[in-house]
Amino acid sequence: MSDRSDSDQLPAAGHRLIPHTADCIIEAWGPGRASCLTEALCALVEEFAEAPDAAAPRLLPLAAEPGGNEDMLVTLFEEVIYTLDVLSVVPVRFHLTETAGGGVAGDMEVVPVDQVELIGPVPKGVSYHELSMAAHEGGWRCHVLVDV
Amino acid sequence: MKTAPSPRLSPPVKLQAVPGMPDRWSIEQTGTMRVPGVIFASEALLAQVVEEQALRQVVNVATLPGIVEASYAMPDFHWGYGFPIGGVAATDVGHGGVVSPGGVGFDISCGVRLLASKLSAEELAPKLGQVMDALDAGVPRGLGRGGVWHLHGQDDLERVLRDGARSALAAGLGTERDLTYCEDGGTVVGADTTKVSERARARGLGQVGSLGSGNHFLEVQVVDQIFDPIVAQAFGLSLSQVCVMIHCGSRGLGHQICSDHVRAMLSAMPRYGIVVPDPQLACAPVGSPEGQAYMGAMAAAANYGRANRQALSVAVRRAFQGAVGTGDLALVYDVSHNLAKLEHHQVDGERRLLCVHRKGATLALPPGHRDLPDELRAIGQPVIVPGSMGTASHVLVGVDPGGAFSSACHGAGRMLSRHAAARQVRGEDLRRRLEAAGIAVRASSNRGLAEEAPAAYKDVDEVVATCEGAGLARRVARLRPLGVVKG
Repeated sequence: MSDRSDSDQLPAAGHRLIPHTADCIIEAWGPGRASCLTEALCALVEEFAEAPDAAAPRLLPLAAEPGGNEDMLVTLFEEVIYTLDVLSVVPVRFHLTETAGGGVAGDMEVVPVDQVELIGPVPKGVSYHELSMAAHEGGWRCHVLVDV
Repeated sequence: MKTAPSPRLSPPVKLQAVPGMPDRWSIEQTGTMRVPGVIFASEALLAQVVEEQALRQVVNVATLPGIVEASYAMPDFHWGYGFPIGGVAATDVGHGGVVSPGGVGFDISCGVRLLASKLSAEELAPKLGQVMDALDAGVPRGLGRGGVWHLHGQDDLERVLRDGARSALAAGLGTERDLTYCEDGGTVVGADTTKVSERARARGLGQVGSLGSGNHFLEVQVVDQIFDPIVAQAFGLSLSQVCVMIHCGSRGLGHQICSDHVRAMLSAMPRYGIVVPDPQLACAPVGSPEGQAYMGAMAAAANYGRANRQALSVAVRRAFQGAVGTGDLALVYDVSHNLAKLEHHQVDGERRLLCVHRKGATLALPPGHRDLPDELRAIGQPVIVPGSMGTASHVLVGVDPGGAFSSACHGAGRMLSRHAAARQVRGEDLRRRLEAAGIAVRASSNRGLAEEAPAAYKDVDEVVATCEGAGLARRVARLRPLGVVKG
């Protein structure tokens, strides 16, 4: 389990994996929507891969059009899952900012599959079960169950 | 009346033992439920259902429009999303019955196939390491693209989606006999490839003939117990015989189809006045454009799943041929445990067309059923039940009258989360323990190994005994692993 949280005082941004019998639940939070989404994406990758520390030389675009907050979360997760399956690269770091139109956009650093150590089951789908992404106590918080 | 201790729920779901029916519990129809819930479980198994959500999901499924009889849960049921894993629900197509992609699951036509060799465990023993090394090299798995069968483009993929396991035969991967012993003859009719998105196609193009990761595996096993010698013989199984079990599904393509159609149905539900307690239960009437689109795409994904397992069977035969000089492994049966099918059943004394969702539940056709091939009709359908990694698996046979629309369990059923399992045992230790027990391990990740540790699962022997006791299926043979190949 990855948990950057402190039980007494949550850092401004963080994420954790919550046990689920068959699959994987991710919770993430951040001061803004983009940082919360970025944390959730980091958790998605940490669930199954150990990435090299060095910066990855290859960048791929990543964006979610303006829409419902949950829909944007699903869009970004599905883009990462699609990238894993189709391009055989693993996103290791994410850079997202809010767009003027109300979406988020940026890029993800990716490395070839053979440069990561597989440490868990690979994510394959995003469930709507108990899905949430909302403003919460001055920041943002999300909860998402991923099929692995 | 006996009541079972139920997990914490608010309000709690009350289970009541069904009088005169062993290992059968009911949940009274209340609130928006359209039918009661029925759970097949021994008291020991019920005590292992530690998540309150699993029972709540049985209740939620009971609210689906058109559901008939009951929202069923098999002895291995556990917490899923939308449906419980191990859930069975049938809706009446002629009376507004819905189809729900969540009732099939992301991994459409995830299933199991069992191949029987002509070798005994004693004959294989000196060559087991070589067989495992050949399987290790010949079975693509884990992360990324790559499969046994290299498709050359969309035309090839189109044939896979349309023809299923038969498309693999056309490419020289298998025999006609393989199709006879595959559910639906290896091809689900009604595939509508126009309802398969470009993203689904892109994800599926490079993965035909690959295991994936998670709980999917390939095992070399030995038959170590026969419960029904006559049926075992008819299935081609005998004591000490070496078999190979393959557990996998429709890979990224099936997952993408599920995602695409859940989203479409979430948008469509208001038009049909449908409200569900969990968005992952998104659904539409079977006869609606959205329902038909999903049924067509699901059939295409099911065909992909069968072609996938067919291609892997050829990899197994090649590995055996190279390592022990014989690749003669006959298909015992191939059956899905994540699928929705249109089937006729008697409901309230009337023969009706139903859409039967089995999510983590196996079709278990009784002897005499018209959908069985001639070779199996007098005997009944083989029900392949994989245990957890490193423990026993079982072959059962469908019985008459059976229950839950001819359904049975699909595995041991998870008890611990992946993280809890990984906390309990280190992958390296588990690998040593399995190898000390004479089980060869070829896994691409120690962590993945730990997450699938046997302690994370219920006791499969108890699960299948409960299936038998509840009248869902009858035990035929038990197999224990000699070697495990995992993603």
